[in-house]
Amino acid sequence: MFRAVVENQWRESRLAVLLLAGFAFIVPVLCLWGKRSESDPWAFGDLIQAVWQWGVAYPSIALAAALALGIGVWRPDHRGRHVYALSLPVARSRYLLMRYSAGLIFLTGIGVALWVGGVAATARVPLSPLLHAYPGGLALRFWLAGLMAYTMMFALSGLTERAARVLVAGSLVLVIVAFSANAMNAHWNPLGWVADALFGPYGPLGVFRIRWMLIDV
Amino acid sequence: MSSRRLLVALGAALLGAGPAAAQDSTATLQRMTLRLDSLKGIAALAESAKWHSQITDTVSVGALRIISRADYRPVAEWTAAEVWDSLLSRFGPAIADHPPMLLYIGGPPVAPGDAERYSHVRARGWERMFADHLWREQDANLVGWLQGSFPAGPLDEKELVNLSARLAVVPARPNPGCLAGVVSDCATALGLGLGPDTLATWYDSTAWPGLAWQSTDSRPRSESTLRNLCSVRNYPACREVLPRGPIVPPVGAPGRQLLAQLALQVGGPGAFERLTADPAAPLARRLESAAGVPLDTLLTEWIGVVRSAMPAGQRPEGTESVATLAWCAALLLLSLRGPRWR
Repeated sequence: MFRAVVENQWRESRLAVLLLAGFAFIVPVLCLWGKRSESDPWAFGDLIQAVWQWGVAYPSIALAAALALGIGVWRPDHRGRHVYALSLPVARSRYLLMRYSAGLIFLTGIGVALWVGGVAATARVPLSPLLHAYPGGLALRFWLAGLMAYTMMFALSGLTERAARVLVAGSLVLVIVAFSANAMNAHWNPLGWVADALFGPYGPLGVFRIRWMLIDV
Repeated sequence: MSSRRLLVALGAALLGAGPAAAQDSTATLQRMTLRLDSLKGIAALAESAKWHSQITDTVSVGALRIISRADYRPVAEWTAAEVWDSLLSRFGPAIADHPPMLLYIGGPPVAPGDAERYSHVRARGWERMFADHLWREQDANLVGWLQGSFPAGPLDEKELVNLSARLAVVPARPNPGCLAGVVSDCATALGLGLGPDTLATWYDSTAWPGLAWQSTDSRPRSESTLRNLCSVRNYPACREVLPRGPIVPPVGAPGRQLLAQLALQVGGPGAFERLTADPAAPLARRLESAAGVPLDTLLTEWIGVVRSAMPAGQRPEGTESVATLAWCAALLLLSLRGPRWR
């Protein structure tokens, strides 16, 4: 049955998955394109600069993958008003776990594409002994960041309408309170607290924080 | 027929009148622009005179003189006191004998909430300004070595990461050894105790063309022929032209700033006075004197700070991975245990 879920999921998301896997493969290659210079010892500065500038592409692809997969995982059920899922002789939790795992497989595929692209790109560029290539570490971080964002999107997409309304209302209240506090010159910023909690070292999105470098010291 | 001719004549007159009218408009516009510029100048003068007439109050704290409007006095007093205390602790009691240092404050009145809210931010800004002023007054050797990056507290994480990255990518002779922890190489990279041939001490000849290319903008045109020759690997030309101007150092100004900052920190009270006491002494000895420890110890500390800022690869740390997986598990559990179906 899991195979059927994966196949169904593949039909729904294959365009997005293939596109994102293509991006994940090509970004490291483009990032180091034309940077092969054994003769100029100053070229490593330009190399690091290019790697730094392209660094923003990796979390962006991870977020895009999470968005596409997190929403795509639920799309067939939402479209069919869950009739197919209800007709299956399995518990809801097991069914959802299969849906989640199917998305996870595709996310892993995109991560593997990034790793292969990173290995291929860095293999072509000679590095100074003080610089190191991190295709594996970058792909692992990409996968972890994508996993976190995907799980969040999966949880949000699976919310009931009532729960979604409560969440949206809660967010709006937070924004209004933050603006009011700012207008009243109060010394606290609830939006800042939320951002700190989300992106802090142990926050759910903390994995996105560091600079994403395919090559670094 | 006659009406058609009239129409044609009218059209021709209109078409001909267009450029003439445009010429008139252009001249008028030019005249108006000149007049507007003149009026703007008068308005700026009036604004300046008004601003100066409002600045009537002077707050005096130590050697600081804050000249501002009367309604700014409480803020100026509080901020100046904080800044002066900080300057005393950084530069020592000798600055009490410094000639007055002036600061003009203008701008709109400070709202009661904002005065308290931004007081520390303002104090940091003033302190930075006065501290830079005090540093710039020091001898040319010290100021030149620091290259305008004066110590102003610990470097932040980003600056340290950039410093370690620069150490790794600049193809200078001492840099690999310095990153590996060789103290003498770090001293050379930081421009301490250099011999007469700085170019050869710092860079291998293969790096010279790149150096010529990097400093082209700041050099006189008369050198351009030699620089062009150097850029195409004519090493005698490099040898002739590069020492004429400042050579890009293996470690930039933030590295030197960090070393001076460490010397002041390690040295504690009186460190600044010891650093600036003997302008004729070599910088290495002055830093030793300020810190009260041998230069090797100071450089070991410097390497430690730089290396600790080096990124440890891209692989997520164990705690980071565990935290992320725990968040995923919690969210997934919540999703699976949600209401049966929508």
